[in-house]
Amino acid sequence: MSQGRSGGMYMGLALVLILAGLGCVGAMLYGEWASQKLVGSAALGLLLMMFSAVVVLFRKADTAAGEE
Amino acid sequence: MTKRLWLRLQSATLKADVFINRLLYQDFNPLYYTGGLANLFLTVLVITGILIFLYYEPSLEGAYASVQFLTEGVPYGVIFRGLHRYAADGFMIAIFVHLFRNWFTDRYREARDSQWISGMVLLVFSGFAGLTGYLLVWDERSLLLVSMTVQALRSIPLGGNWLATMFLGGPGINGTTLPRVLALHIAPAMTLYALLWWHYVRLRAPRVWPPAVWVLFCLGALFFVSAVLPATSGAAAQPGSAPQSFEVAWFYLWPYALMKWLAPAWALALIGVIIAYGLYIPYSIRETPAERGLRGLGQATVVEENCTGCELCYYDCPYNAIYMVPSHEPGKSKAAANRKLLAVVVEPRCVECGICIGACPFEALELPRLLDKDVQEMIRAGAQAPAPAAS
Repeated sequence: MSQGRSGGMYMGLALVLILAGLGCVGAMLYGEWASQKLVGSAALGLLLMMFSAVVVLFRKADTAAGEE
Repeated sequence: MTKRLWLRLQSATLKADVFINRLLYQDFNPLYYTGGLANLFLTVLVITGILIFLYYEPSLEGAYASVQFLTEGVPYGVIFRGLHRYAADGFMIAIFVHLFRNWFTDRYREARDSQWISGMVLLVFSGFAGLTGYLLVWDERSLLLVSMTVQALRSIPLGGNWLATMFLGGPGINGTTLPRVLALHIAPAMTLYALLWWHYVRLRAPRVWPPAVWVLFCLGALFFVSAVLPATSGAAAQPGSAPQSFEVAWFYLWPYALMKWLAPAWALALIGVIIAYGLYIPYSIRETPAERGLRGLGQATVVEENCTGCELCYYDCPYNAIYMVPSHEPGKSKAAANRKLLAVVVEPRCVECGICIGACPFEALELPRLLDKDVQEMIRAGAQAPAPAAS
């Protein structure tokens, strides 16, 4: 697989995580609204973990593009 | 046999580095930040510990109820409790990975003994602070652990009974017991920061904090686990009752698990031997002069007439062994004529590594037992040695 294609794959994966992150934000709002504190906290935890994964994926995608 | 095992462990540790470097980027490799990760978890422990402390009531009647109120009555209290509980586990995992990584890659020898010894003391204090945390919940497990602690203390031949009385605040569990346990939880935790200073004092650029990516990931993981597996208490402690078994939290309560297999005195002795061996590790290496190779060449010395005060050696020394002081007289060389500063070697910190000599472009530092003439002599001897026969 070429560097450009793997860069695209990383960006695609990051996009999926970002969309899932939006779902987590929704779950946090629901947790607060419905007083489901554990649901909200779990969603916050997932969101933070996904955000860190997105940062790594962006970095990998950038470098792949830079090496072309 | 031992040497071969050691080489395998070292090789596996380095392979893990390489594998993670391929998977992530080198500056994201968590194995390079195990100390920083431990600091991150310690920070979470301190912040959540302060919040929990605001609700905790250290009395036999109120302790369990106050923990239950925090867990069930305070908004997000269960999460704070979970963060405290799981950060303690994360802290121990980070510490052990840090310990084994440095052990297997030989980063405890000679001048690094200070980091190793302070690390071992940090580990003991951390373990003790964590262990006493389980007593504070004051559920059935806490009661059993307190009685096992007393049993272990009383098994110490000299002064054991006195220690048990000091621990309990009397001959048996009474109103002053939990305040004492709370003090034994908080005091070692506060001491950790003084010990961290000792741990870092000889390092020029210690990595005290992990990259933001790992801060976010670890905080996220803590929130997630705290929500999915909320920290809970067992049944309330009933004075006079004597539960026989308990759920072992292996990172902190393993000494009690040991007491199920060994008599308390032997369990304590074994723990003492493990700690003593840990402290002895840096001094257990015996090397022949051939194995020492070019190490042990004497502490670096400053050739004052050549020093320009450029500070390159000061910044390059990883052991904080070079300080810059105001220079009251000019150097003899042309480059050093207008210097404002002069390098000074702090001898107890110098590990004789020679990095400063490589850093100095003005030949203002030297290892006394490896002068230029010695190097030339070694090169000459090497050139005159017969060439190895071709196979």
